[in-house]
Amino acid sequence: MDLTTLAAAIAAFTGIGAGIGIGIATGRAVDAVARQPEASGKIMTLLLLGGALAEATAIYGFVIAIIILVS
Amino acid sequence: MLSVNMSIVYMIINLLILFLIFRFILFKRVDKILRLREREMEEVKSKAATVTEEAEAAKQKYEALYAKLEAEKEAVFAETKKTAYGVRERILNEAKQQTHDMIEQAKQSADDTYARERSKNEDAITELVLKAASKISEQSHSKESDQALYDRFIKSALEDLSFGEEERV
Amino acid sequence: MTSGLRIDHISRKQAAIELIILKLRELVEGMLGHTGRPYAEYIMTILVYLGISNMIGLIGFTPPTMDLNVTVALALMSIVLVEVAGIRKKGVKTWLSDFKEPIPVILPMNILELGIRPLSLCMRLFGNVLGATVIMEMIKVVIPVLLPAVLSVYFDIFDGLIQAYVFCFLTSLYIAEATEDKERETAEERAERKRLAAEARAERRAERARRKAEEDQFDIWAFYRRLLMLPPKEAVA
Repeated sequence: MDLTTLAAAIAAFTGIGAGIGIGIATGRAVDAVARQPEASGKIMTLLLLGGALAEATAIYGFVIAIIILVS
Repeated sequence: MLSVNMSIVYMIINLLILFLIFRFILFKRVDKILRLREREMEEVKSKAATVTEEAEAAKQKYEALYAKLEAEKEAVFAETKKTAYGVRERILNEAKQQTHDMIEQAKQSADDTYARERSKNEDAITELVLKAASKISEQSHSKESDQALYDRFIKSALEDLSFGEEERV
Repeated sequence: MTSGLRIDHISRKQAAIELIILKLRELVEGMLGHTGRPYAEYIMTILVYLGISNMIGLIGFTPPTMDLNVTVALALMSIVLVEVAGIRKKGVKTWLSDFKEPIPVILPMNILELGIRPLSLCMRLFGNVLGATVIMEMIKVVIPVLLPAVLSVYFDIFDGLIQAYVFCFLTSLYIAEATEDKERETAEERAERKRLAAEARAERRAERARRKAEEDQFDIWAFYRRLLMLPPKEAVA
């Protein structure tokens, strides 16, 4: 088995961080909406933004995996 | 896909051109239109303000005019009142005068009547006296009888006279 | 397209254009803050370009942002714009000295940030679009009908717009940070702060010395005596 495949698989572990981050963000967002239902629009926007930013770590892992596989 | 090469530079140039196109064709023109519209709105607003001011001034003018008219009305009223009072006074005076005149006239006529009656009485007395005198002259007329006759006559005449006086009063 | 603009009695098209531009400007200027307002038009351009190019996969084209060159170019332009904005606002000297803010230890981090910021910007964009496209291709292989149409709503429209927004948001954030009106402490204020810190340090040192002295003169035998309610040593003697 080629070691580069293993390296790419390891790079995919970045998904853990993104998952935890988005989970926490969503949990907090639900808390916030439960506390202040009238601010749900604003919270939704912020949650999407935060989700996109947190997701970026997983995307980095994916890009690294691609780079490893391609090169 | 993953190779980085000179196309970055082309990409940057393309993006800059895109930015310039957007800037000069879209943003600038729309901004210009928005600015023009804003200016127009300001103009309309200021025009409305001046119109309001003019209306205010006209209102004040008419109010002043109204006040003047009111004052004139008051003056005319006062004048008319004064005139009416004067007329009333005059009429009253005239009436008084007339009354006075009438009283005077009545007095005059009463005096005249009195004088006429009196002269009439005197005539009657004279007649009586003449009648008596003729009677006496017809009859024997002694000195005593004459005296008595005189007295009687005078008495009767006086009675007559006093009666006439009483009647006059 | 914008040749027949008028002030009043506007056409439907002009109303749409004005509405879009005003909304975009409101959004971008809200992210930029009042100090970064001159750069709003560039951000708007980038936002429109990224929005369109991320969604172009809907009609079958390959998104330009799937090419690493494009995202690298965008990220380079962004970081150059951020630093130029910072220099224009603060001047070269202050801009250089701001690399050791808030504390000098962080200087290498700040210099590294110059490279990390554009790298993260371009990799996030590239990776998202590439990942979305790869997943879509894989789904198309497995289920060629129906499901790709549903999923493209998420992967092409939603994700594309979100990534365009995030790119512009981060660039705006960097610009706003680079151009913000910071209250810089003057030399006297710095001296005053240092003097206060020195005073506090001296006070702490004195306190520690006092406590140590107290501990030194602490008589363990007298303490035991008091504990056992024995009379003082002098009285016994």
